[in-house]
Amino acid sequence: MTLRRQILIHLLIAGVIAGSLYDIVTSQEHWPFSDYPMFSTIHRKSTLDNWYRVFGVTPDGQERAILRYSELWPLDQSRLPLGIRRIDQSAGSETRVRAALEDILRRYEARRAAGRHRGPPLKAIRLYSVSWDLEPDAANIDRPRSKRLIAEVALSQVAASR
Amino acid sequence: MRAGPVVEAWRKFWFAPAAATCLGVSRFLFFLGLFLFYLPHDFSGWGDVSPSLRQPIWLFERFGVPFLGPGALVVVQTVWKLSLFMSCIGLFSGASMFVAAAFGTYLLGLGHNFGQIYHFDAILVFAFWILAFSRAGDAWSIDALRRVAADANAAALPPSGEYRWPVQLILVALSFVFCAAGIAKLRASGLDWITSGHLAIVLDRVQYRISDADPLLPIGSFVARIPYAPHLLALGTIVFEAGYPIALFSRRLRPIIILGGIGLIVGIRVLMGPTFENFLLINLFWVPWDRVGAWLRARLPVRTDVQVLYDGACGLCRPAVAVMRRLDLLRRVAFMDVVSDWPTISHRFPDLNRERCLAEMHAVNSDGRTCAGFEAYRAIARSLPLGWFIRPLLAVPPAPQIGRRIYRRLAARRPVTCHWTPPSSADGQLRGTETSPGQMIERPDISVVIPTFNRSAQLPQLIQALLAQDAGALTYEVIIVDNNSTDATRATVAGFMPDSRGLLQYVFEPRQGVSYARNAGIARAHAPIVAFLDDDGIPEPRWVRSMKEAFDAFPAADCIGGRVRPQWVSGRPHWLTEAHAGPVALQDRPQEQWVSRFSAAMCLLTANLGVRREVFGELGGFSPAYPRNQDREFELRMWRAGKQGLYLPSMDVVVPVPPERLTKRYHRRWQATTGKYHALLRFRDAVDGRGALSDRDRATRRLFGTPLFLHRSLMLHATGWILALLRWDGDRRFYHETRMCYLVSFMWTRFKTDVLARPGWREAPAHHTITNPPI
Repeated sequence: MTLRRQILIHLLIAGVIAGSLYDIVTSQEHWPFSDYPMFSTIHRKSTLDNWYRVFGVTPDGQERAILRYSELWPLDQSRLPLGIRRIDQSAGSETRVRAALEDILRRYEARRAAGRHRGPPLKAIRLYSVSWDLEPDAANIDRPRSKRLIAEVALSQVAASR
Repeated sequence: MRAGPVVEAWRKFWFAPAAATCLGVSRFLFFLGLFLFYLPHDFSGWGDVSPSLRQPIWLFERFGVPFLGPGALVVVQTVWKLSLFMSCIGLFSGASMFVAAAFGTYLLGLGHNFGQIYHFDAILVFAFWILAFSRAGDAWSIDALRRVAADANAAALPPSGEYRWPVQLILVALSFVFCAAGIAKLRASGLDWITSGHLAIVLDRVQYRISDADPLLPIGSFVARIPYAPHLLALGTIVFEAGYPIALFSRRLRPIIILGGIGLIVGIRVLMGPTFENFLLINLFWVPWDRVGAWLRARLPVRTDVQVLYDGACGLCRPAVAVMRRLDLLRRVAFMDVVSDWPTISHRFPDLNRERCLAEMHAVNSDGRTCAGFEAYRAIARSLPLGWFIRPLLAVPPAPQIGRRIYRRLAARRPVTCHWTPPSSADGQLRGTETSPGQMIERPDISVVIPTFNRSAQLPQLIQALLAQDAGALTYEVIIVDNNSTDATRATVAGFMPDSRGLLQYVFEPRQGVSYARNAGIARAHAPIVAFLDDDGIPEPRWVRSMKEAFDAFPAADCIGGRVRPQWVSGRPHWLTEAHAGPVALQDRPQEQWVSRFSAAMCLLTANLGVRREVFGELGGFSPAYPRNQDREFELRMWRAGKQGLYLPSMDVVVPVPPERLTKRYHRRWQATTGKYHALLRFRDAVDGRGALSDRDRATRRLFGTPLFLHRSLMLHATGWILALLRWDGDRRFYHETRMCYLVSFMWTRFKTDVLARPGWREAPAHHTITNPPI
């Protein structure tokens, strides 16, 4: 092993160790370095509060939660609510939230038309903040304790904005 | 603390020499798994997501990484998946792994800019970059095969620190992942994370479809309500996560911690939903693949499915055979060079024509059928693991027609250096192999047969010691039997040929097994005394003369064995007493001793043994049915036939004891293997406590096929082991442990052969008889 190669390898080793230690010690996240905080905070109340969930409105006015990966692709039922809640809680959020919902509805319909998923046609989507008192096996998933409308986007608005 | 030990420990941890196989196999399986996992995955959707949803992560923001559109992402992901595949097969591995690292970092990082950072793929990015800077393509790769094809005589890659640090660094990064997760929990919530039972609430929460995927099994709420289950799961999580780095240093705890880590990930996926399947692939780097391979090969039946006869002077055949040797992972193919091994080939396959064998590659199947040309390649494909995938393609029309045509064309235009015809010998077809160009001794006094397998590094010292023997007026020949070595054995022996004064012969025995090799040597031997040495032994300067003088002095001895003394390469461990001499192949008794049917307990080791040639004519050679203990089996046949042997301490051979034979693990394994073969030989049944050999089993009372006195012996050793444990006497405890290994293995083998295989197991079976193996 040449000296240059040894230096390179030691730099790589030092980089991996130092980067990892830095994020662990400072509780920061510099992906791919991370302090891996998932599931670290404890929940003391048997509730799930203020969870953002997107519902589709079918032509007959029924609401249906959009949860399947094929319907949300490339987002998913965890990444979308957390991302959109963060946007909603930031300054000047209304426009960004509406733009995000329009994007979701547009892609949903485009993929439905292309046969990529078997969800029903939607005339609008609504973003709710939902809260539940936890029950075993999520028996009350369709009967939340509270459901607050955050924003709504109609398909006609999506077509107009394009 | 002084810097010396720290630096030494650092070097040992990161750069202790390791086999290229471990890194190569890990690379192969890691990239294969990722390729299959990500093949159906479409990243192009990220190019279509509204910028309003973007929350760039540090890496993208700091370095201004652009967000590509769907079309560009399709190109990037196609290149990335291709690079994963090429990294897997090891084609242009350096460049492929760099592309895989660069594009993989971009594609895997892309999703984290939208809402949330997931933690299952960061370790993959570390692994990509570490492998990109490593020499992971040196083994188990097309690049390695290309190098072999370019230089068919290339020696196998020596162990190197280059193959250790990448594995260690990936495992260190993995340890950081687990440990950081454990520390984050303790820091955020303290021991409440375990004691509060909050995991029950988490298990209920995830049922509300808040993870990136739903739990695989809908049992989270059920588990949450089992008393103390959430607390125990939380405790196990913290223990395994925070304690994960211990796996890097503790060999004993490593399997538990690794399995705990895997269980954790699988548990999260099953009960909670987050998708960690690709994360699991990183555990491949924990596996010592070289040891796994050796373990598997030791358990596979030794057999040759196809014998390939090729033209060693052909510029196409040589690299093709070199490549196929590497691909022959199960050692099912024996390759024989028509140019150099023709005497052996013509002896074994008298119907074959040398000119035709030179014109086309031939393959002889185990049932004796011969095929040539393209069909020979098809026959080989059947025996190579990789060929199992290729073979169906070779059979589908018009592949055979095209294949035959291409083969004929290439064969007609192949570069051939020269064809050397071996000289015919006076006494038959076996004399005169190509690597013995000098005048051979017509009627030597002693033929020294040395079977060897992949010990080209040790051979020179042995050959030098033999060529420099103080033999006086005696004549002798040295027959090196290459037992299908894949290293530079042939070249090493050839290097000594010019100065060997015709003493040296090289014989190639393609069938794997020391019995085959010794029998091939006996077949080539011309002297009335055939002496055996191991390929790592060094005879003393008068060894040949001592052997001849001993046979002259004791005409009643049919065989004479000598002392085998150790040369401690790395010191002698304190626990290695005389009681453990067997596993290190030592025989160092001070007194002469006759061995016969009246005193058959001693085994004269073939590491230093001479046998009168007529014994082989009468009893046959060594039995290939015994890959181990074949010397014991041969000698039992001798004693039963009324022959007798003599142990003479004046005939001296020194054997270096390598460090790997000085581990307790090796000794346990050796005892277990010996127990197995003693059970098959029915050695303990036929030889009584005073060493007398009887024709019938002496044991009348058996339990599960094993004589009762051996059950008693096992109980005594178990008691001794417990007493030694209480007395804190480690050496004594290990002694009893090895004996128990022997006895348990003996009993298990006997249970399989006498009980499971035969319904009437209470009846003592007849002696395990071996038809005298032909030479």
